[in-house]
Amino acid sequence: MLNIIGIFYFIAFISFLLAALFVVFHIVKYSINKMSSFVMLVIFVLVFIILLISNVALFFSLPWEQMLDFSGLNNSGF
Amino acid sequence: MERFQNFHFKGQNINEKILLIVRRHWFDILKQFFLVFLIVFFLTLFFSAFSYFYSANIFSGTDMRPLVFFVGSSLALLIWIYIFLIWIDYYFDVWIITDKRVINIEQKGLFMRHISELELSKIQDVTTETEGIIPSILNYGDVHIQTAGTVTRFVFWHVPDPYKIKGIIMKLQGKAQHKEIRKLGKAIHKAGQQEEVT
Repeated sequence: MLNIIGIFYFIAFISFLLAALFVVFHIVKYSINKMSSFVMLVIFVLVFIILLISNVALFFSLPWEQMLDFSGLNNSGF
Repeated sequence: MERFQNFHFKGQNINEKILLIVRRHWFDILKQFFLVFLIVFFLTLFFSAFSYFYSANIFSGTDMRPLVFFVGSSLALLIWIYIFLIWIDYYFDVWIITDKRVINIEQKGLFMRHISELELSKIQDVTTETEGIIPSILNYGDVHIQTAGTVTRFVFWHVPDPYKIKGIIMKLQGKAQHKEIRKLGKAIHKAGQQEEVT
């Protein structure tokens, strides 16, 4: 069960990264003013990195085994 | 205009000057952001209330607050990306008026972009439309540009001060047509001179 949670989170993590890459791609490729595209990029990337790092940190700080034990979902087979 | 010197679009000719860049009125994007702000507001209320009232020992001594914060952090990430997707859709929808043509760049979501252009000399008619209380108060509306064909070629959607934009386009259209007539006149004059020589 822990592995499944890990896999789901990995998929979510990659999805977040891909979505952010798409945003960066559009800002870089289609902006008609370099200064404004630079400002937009900096704001987006900085906040995104902070949110992503805190999200990963929170994920790994969670006591998944305890929570799964309580909910009865943790199977010794997993 | 000097303030657009730092702007450059793909396909811009060397001697082509950007005279005006038009985007949709800010109220248009505010309507989309309003929903996001509402969601953020209620989520913030929820998580604040949860942190304040939640007892740490409800689930067999397991503190569920980290889980709630993790969920909140994931939602924050999603909302941040969604905000920028809305921004991209707004910011990259742009109409560019140069001294030679009008360019319509429409960003339709991600990875779908329509670019069309219209030479100033081909413009026949420009009409503006402002409908509703809020557009009238905030002075934004649509600008329709008609060419010789029966179908309206260009529409500037929800743009600020549509009357001013109409005035600029009509002025430029007049200059472009005058230039075309002078060119035609010179060509006819030259052809006439060559006939005399022969």
